Amino acid sequence: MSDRGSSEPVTSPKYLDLKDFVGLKQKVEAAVRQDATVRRPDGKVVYRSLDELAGTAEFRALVDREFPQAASEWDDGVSRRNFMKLMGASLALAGLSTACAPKPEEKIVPYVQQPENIVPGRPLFFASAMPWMGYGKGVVVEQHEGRPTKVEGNRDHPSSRGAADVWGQASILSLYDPDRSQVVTRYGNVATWGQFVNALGDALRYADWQAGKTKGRTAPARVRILTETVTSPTIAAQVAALKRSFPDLVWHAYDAVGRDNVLEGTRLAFGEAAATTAPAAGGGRLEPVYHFDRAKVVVALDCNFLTDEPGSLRYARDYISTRKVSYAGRKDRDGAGLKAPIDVPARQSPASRLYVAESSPTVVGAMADHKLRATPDQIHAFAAALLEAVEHHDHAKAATFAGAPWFNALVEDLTHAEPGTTLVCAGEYAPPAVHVLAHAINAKLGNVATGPDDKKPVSLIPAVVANPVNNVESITKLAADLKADAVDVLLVLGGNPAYTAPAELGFEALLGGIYARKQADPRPFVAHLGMYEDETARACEWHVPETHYLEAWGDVRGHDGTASVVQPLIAPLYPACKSAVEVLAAALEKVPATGSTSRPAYNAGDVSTARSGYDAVRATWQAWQAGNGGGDFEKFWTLSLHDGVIGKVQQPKDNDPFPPAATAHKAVAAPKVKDDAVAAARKVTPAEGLTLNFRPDPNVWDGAWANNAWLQELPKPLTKLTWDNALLISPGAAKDLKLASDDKGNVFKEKFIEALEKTVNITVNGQTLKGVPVWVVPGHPDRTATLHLGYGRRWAGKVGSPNDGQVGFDAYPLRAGATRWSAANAKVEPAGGTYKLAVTQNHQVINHETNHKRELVLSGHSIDEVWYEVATEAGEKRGEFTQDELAARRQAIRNREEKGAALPERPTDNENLKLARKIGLPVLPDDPANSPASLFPDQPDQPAGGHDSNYPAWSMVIDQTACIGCNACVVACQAENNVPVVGKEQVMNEREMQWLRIDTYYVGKPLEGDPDGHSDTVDVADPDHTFFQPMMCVHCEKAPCELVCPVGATVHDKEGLNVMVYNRCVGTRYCSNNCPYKVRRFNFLKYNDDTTPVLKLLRNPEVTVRSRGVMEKCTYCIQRISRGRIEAKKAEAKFRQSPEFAKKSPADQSHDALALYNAELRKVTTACQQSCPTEAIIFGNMADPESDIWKHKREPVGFHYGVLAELNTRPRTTYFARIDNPSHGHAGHAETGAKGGDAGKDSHPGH
Amino acid sequence: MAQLFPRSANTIAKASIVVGVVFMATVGGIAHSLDRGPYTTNQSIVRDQPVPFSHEHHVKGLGIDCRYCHTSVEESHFAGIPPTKTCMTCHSQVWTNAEVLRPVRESWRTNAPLQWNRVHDLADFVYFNHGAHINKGVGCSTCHGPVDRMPLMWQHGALTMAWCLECHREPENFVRPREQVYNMDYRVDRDSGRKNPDGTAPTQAQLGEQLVKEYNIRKDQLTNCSICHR
Repeated sequence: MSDRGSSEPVTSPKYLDLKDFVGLKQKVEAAVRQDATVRRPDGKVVYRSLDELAGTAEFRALVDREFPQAASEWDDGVSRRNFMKLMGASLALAGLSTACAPKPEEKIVPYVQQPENIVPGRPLFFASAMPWMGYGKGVVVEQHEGRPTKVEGNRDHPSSRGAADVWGQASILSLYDPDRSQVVTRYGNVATWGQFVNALGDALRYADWQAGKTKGRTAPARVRILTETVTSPTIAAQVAALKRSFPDLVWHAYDAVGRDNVLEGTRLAFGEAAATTAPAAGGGRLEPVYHFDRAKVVVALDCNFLTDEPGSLRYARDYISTRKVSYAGRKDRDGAGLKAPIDVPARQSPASRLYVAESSPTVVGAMADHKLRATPDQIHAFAAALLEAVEHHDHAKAATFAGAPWFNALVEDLTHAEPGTTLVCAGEYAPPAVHVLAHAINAKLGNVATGPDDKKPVSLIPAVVANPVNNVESITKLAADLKADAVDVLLVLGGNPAYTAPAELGFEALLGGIYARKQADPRPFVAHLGMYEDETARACEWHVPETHYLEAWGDVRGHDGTASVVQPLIAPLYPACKSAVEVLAAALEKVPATGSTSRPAYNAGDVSTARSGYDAVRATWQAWQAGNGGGDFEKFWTLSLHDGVIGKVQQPKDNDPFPPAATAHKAVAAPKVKDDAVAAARKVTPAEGLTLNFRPDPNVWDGAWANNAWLQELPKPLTKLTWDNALLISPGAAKDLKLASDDKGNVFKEKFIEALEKTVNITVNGQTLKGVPVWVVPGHPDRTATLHLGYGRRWAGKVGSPNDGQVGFDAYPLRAGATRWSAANAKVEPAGGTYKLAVTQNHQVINHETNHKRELVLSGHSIDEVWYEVATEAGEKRGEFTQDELAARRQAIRNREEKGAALPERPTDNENLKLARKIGLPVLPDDPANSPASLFPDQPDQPAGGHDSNYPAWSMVIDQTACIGCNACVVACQAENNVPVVGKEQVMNEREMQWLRIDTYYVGKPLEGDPDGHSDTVDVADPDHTFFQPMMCVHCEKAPCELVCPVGATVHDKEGLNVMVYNRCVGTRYCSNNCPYKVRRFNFLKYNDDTTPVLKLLRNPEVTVRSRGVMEKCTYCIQRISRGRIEAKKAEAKFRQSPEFAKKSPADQSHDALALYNAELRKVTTACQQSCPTEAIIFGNMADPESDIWKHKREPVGFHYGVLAELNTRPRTTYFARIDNPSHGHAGHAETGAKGGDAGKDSHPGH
Repeated sequence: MAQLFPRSANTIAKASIVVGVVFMATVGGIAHSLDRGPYTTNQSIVRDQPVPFSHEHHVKGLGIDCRYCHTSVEESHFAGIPPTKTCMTCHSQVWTNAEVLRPVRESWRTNAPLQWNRVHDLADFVYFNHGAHINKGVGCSTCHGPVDRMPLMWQHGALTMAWCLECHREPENFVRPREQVYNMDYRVDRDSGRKNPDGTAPTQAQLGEQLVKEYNIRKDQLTNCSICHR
């Protein structure tokens, strides 16, 4: 059929006049805009960024294109001509030098004496604990021939339960950071440890002598120690020993984040009287520990319990365990085929409900069923109103709280729940008064444990912090002493106070003043211990390089007080590095506690006599053990090291698989909340003007991680910002600040993108920070703005302060001690400029339109209810049911749940599913009904019933109900797979290399005045939902990438993996172009640094380090699969050789051998799965009916779906939709949905 | 118009064709032998070592088992090079003053490891695993050749991908009974310890098929890229 042969008459062309043309153009543009808006069936709009909502042409282009325009060019000023010249020459040379040259000679270097337990080529794993914010998180560290390469969580540790967070994962990069401080310095000149120790001893003795001798002082030397939050019993014991020689010694603590408000809250609520009930360990303070698995209703008041608390990993696990409603997820909770059992009743209890009030958007807010966006003073008022309502115990009397239409429902939920099944938690960012109110509400609702054995959602334990002083007061006192010249010796052990101290103190200048004065007066002696030559190191006379936690002995307590030994995995990379324990041991050696001048010999039970970190830690625990039952210390010590937990219960009982360790702090009998404290806390002072919130950065925290490139390049949760901080504001604030234009008196969403990246000057506390870019965040409270700490470091290293410049903007000069977390009356003025931010929000945008035609956010408090919605909706449409029947069905579900009925054995036994089958709905995602014929070839051994397959079928399920968007998986993947960082400029070119990204979607309701449902107006200020979708290669069974590769570099293997063969790849990027999921990453440049010697130690030896010009992507951690497969083959081989094998019948032989093989393969986990605190990622062999993944894969459609499955790619990774559990008892939420109505009037599930 | 070329031009033209073909074949041949020959692959090139360790003497002469020194060969991807201590177990008693063993004693005294020159060096993007091969009945000598006749070590196979694939495509041509893996002189008819149903000694073709089945060698999978590359 050719055009020439066509016999159709040729019509004469119609000439468009200009008017027509303009009209047409407008129509096309409108159509494009319409197209960009993704609407759910209920009329709500799903979007991932403001650009998408605005439907800009740029955004459309991003959806259609793989990379932004010109991303494939190397735009750095080298002209094309020069480039060709250079490349021509290097190509010619490359051809000569690599193709024909013989292989370079390599050496093999064996041990002289092989250490015990080392099998060359096989990693070893050691338990340790990572101090974070002073508290410990248990870790298990992988070590290859003596070098640590990967950090995982420790399942036995109560603060980890097998998970590791972004900092845990990234800490391995800090160990090998080439910018670490390597030598002792004095005034910036190289010195030795010996010189330092002598100088320290001299200073201590001189100060002591002079104090007694001259200047009319009778008190001994004024020694000051400044640390961050410390929970280490050894350090506490050492300081106590030092204090015996220097009674005037003061231990100051300053942590830029710390736990001031939490501790102050308990002090106000329970008073100093708590000191009498608590053992001395807590310094008389109490600290709350939460048990989210015991709560059915959770209220979080500015409390980011999912990522920002010392117990966050545990809290996230516990909380999400009450949210998983899938059959498989529930089964997991009941302990079948489970990684780590959780102490929840094994019954079909309805999901818990989360109410959140927050002043800055966090992942907790994203997980909320109901959220109040408010300023800190409004949250205070909210807490006061809640206490009022709870006290009256009658929700009908409760006044409606502005901004929270669900307030009555919350009161109803709290007051009607059984006592001791709800939980109100206040976070560090809320003022102490809110903590007092939270304690009062918890007390009122019977949520507080009355002793160690009382299983309630809140227990109060003696403070875990060894030195529970108020951080701000403490450093203010120290600053005053320094100013008054009342300090003789100051040891800054860790931390970076010159950078983080409250702005009004001028702390850096105080230290710097010492520096200038030095020649005239040898006092005070100021030394700093830190991992970097940072701001503080440069201000102090002496600087001692600090060891990484993987290099030195120490100890630390977890969030509930459980102690762990911090066990070194490697000798210090730089011999000069010392730990805080070693510095204190040196001080104790120079000035013996006994007062005599001769050194006492090491006494195993006395920390003060220890000379090394190892001896000191052992001495501490030998003393502890002697006082706690005694026994064989060597055995106790070995077990403690092995478990990563000191005093772990070795034989837990069945009903409590994770009993608290002997070192955990026991809950005290809850003291009464003081009435006067509550009365005082009820008074709310309204804040004036705009409130500026200071928050630790989700990645670099208080700035301590600023030189960690993995964290710098990690897209922050919600904002997806990398390599910078920005002033986060709400759409409303953007309007108020006149950053976005506002015509017609209406909020046009297009206008908000005008505000993005515009610079502003922020003035607060009399200080101005200039030129900060603005980022508009949907869901950010109005009248507040958020600025993250930790950026604008002057001396962080090559990553955090490149070329002595700065990354981001330093918020500390704005932050006064009195306004630690929020400062009212902030002035924000447009500065008139723009500043480019590297935001990955619009990177690798998939066409999620079709996805969200199905609902990705469902609601229901149990899987039955979710299924009820899904199945009955379809049935109703087909006229299968009457309204009455529907109501009866719903009631039946409720009744069954009330009784706590056991789960059906198989999900398919569920009557809703039978119903679905009856009405012809597909039940499983891989039902034949769901997959039409395809042109793509079938992969061998597809799982369609192939349970007896000789080959596993690897696949994954990601539970979006459980995904809290914490990013741990992203960094875990980066660490496991040698994924490089690319830098800010390359990120802006959409060239970031992380294999795994977390797509964040908002669901917004249309604004009023949107009658036709076609308007562009969406309520971006208050999204109904925010949900996360981790996205990496989904290993399509019919993979579009494979067909277009000209060199066969990406192919399927027998186990169903879509594999990438680096050595075949020639870099055409066709595969990436053809990938609808946009999960492939291309090495445009040589991103991996393989020349810096110390970074060579970092690499995972099991994974190829990719060079320039190679495509890469998620491999399902093929190195771990290979390890598992080889181990399985070895086990199988052994079994086949065994005598009992010979006795079996041939059929049994092959069956049993395969069962053994599969059992071995069940041990394979991917890096992302292993790190996930909430077990949202399930991976395994779905051809094995005994595996977890098999159960998960049999979850019915409706909430189990494949992304872009309508393309018939048959993805091996499937997803469970996010299931929210909003209250039906209020009018605000459900009615906004198109199908609200009836549901909104429905009775509350508790009745 | 007069002839431009003399008659001899015909001969020259014909000859130049022949010369051209020969030249190109020669260049091609040289390139091929450079690429696939010992110059690139290091096949059959005897390597100098800091200590002239003789496998011939230790294996054939003294009858020491492979695993005495290469301890992790069944466990790990890496067969293991013995630590100095292994050498010293004997050489603190015998040949205690031998000049050739000076580096060994030096290493023991100074705690500085010996540095051997690597003989078998696969490309870095290949992940070979000794343990998997040993457990599935691939003999040492199948890849490493007659080690017991090597006074100094050389690389027996080419270690090219084509060479690996010879066995990965048709393992039945190479596998042997697992108990014969460390036998340097293995001959299928003599050493296999198996008998055909008719009582005759099996050939490799007969035994190979049987062993592939017996050891459940997943043959289809062996040519998957992901088996060796990650």
